Amino acid sequence: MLLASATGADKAPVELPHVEIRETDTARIMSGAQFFAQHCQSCHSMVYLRYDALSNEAGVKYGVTPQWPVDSWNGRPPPDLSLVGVTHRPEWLYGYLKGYYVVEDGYDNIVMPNTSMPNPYPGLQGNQILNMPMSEILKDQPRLYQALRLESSGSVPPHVFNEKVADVVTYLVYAADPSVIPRHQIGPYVLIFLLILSLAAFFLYQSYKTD
Amino acid sequence: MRKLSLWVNQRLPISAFYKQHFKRFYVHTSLNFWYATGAIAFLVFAIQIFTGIFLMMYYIPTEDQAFSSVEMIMRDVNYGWLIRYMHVVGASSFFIIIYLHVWKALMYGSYKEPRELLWFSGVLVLILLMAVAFTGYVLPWGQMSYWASKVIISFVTVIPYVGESLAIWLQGDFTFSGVVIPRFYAYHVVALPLIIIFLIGIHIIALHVVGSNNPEGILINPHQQPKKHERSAIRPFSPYYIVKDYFAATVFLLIYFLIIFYFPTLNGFFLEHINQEPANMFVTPAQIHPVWYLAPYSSILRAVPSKGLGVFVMFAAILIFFFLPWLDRSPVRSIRYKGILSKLFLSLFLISVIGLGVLGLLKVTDDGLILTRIFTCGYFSYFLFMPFYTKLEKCTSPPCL
Repeated sequence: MLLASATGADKAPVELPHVEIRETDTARIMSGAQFFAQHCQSCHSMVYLRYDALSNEAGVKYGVTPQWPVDSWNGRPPPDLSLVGVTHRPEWLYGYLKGYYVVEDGYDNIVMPNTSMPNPYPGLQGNQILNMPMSEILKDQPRLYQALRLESSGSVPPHVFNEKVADVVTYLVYAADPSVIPRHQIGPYVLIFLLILSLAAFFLYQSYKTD
Repeated sequence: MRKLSLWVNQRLPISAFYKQHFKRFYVHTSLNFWYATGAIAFLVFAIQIFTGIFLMMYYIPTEDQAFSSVEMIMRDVNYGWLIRYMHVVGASSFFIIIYLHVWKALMYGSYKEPRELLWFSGVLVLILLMAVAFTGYVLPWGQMSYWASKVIISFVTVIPYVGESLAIWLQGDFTFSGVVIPRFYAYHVVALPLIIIFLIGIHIIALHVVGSNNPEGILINPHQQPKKHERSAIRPFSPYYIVKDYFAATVFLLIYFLIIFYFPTLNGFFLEHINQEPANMFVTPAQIHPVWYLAPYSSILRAVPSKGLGVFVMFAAILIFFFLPWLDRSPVRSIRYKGILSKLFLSLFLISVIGLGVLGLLKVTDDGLILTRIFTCGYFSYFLFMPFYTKLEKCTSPPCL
C-alpha cells in the first residue's frame, strides 16, 4: 500500500514475477528451510532463528555460517537474512533468486545488477542468457521471463526449480516473523471468544437501553 | 458482610465514591457511541502500561542490543510476539481512539464554557502522547527510528539562543547517536507516563465537576438527581453507560485482536518494514517520514519553505487547539444546531487533516506540495476564521430539558 514500497530497495530493471506465498504452509516452509540449509547457509546466517525449532530441524543452525569480517567481500559481506523477508517484497526476492544470467566472466543478476552474490545454484537451474540487449531492457522494463531465456538446462526442470525458489522465499518470509504460525493457531479462539463476549455485551446494553 | 462493608467505609469511602461518581453521576441520554471513545482510550492506556511492563523485562536499552533484544522478544520469549504486537498495535490504536475523541469534542463543542480546563488537560495529554509515542518509536533502533528521530530532534535547534544546547542536552551527545536510547527509554517508561497519568486524573476530575457534554450540547448538573419530567432525558452513568462502554470496549478488542493476529504490521502501516532493518547511520533511507499518526504535522512542516518557520507553524497547528474555547463565539455547542458555515469549516478541517496525513506518507512531489499547502490553509482556516463564521451564521436553538 502506501508504505510497502517505501523501502526503495525493491527497484528492479524488469517487471518482477508474481509469487504466491502461503505464509502458514509449514510443509513449504520446511522445504524452503532445507533448501536454505543446503544452498545459502554456507554464506548467510540466520542469527535470530537460532532457537527456532523448525529451522533447526531443517538443518539451519547457529554457528554454521562463518563470521565474515567487515572488510571481506570488498566490504560487502553476505548479510544475515533473518529479516530479509520483511525488508524486501517476496516478488523481489523471488525474481532476484531466479535472475542470474551468463556474462563473459561469470554471472550477473537482472533484478539487482552488479550484485556481489555469486550464482548459488548454476547446476540446479542451468544457464540463462539475456533474451534482448540490456539497453532495451532498461527502456521497456519487460517481464523477467521475457528478459532471460534458458540456454542450457540444469539438473531439475524449470517448474521444479521455480517451486524450490518459491519455497525458499516462503521460508524467508516465515523467518522474518515466525509468530505467524502461533498467531494463526490461537487467533480463531481469541476472536470467537471476543465475538461471543461482544454479543453478550450487546444484549446487556440493549436490555438496559430499553429499560 | 454488612459489618465489614461498614468497617471499610468508615475508613475508606468506597461506597460514597461509587455513589458520587457512578451511581449518581448523571448524563444526558443523547450520548452516542462517540462518547465511548474516552472509556476505550482508558482501556488502551491500561493495555500499554501492562504490555510495556512485560517488554521492559527483556528489552535492553543499549545501542548494540536494542534491536536484537526486540527480535529476541519477538522470537525467543514465550508469547513475546503477542506482548510486543499488542504494544505496537496499541500505540496506533491509541492515536485512532484519541483522534476520534478529539473529533467528538470538535463536533459537539465539548471545549466550550464551562469545559475549558477539561479541554486543556485533554490537549496536554495529546501532546504528551505524541512525545511518548516518539520516544517509544526510537527504542527498537531500526532505520526509521534513527533517521526520523534525528529529524524530529533537530526541530528544537530552531529555537533561538537555547536550541542548540537543548538538542545536545536531549540527545546527550553532539550528534544524534545511540546515546539517546537509555535517555529516551527513561522518558518513555517513567517520566512521560507519570505525567500522562497525572493529567488523565485532572481530566477526569474536571469532567466530574462539569459533567459530560452531549450531542445536543445541553448543560446539565451531573450531581443533581433528575426531576420527574427529566427522567427520560437524564440517566445515571452506572449502570446505563457502563454497559454501553463495556459493549463498545468488546467491539474495540475484537478489531484490535483481529489486527494483532492476522495483520500485525497492517502492511507496514503500524510497524514499518524499513524499521525492521537495524539503524545504520551511514545509509540514509530513500525517504524519511514519521509514523502515520504524526504524518499530518510533518506535512505542515513540509508545506512551509523555511525550516525555522515550518517548525513554528507545525507547533502552532497543535497549540492552536488551546485557543479553541475563545475562538468559538457560537451561542450553541453542538454542530447539530450550528449553522451551515460551521458545518462547512468543520468538514474542511477533516478533509485537510486526512489529506495532510496521506500526503505526509508519500514522496514529496510538486503537485503534492501544492496540495499540502492548500490543506495547511484549510487546517488553519477552521481555527482562524472561527470567531467570524460562528458569529455570522444563524444557529437553531437546542431543545430544552
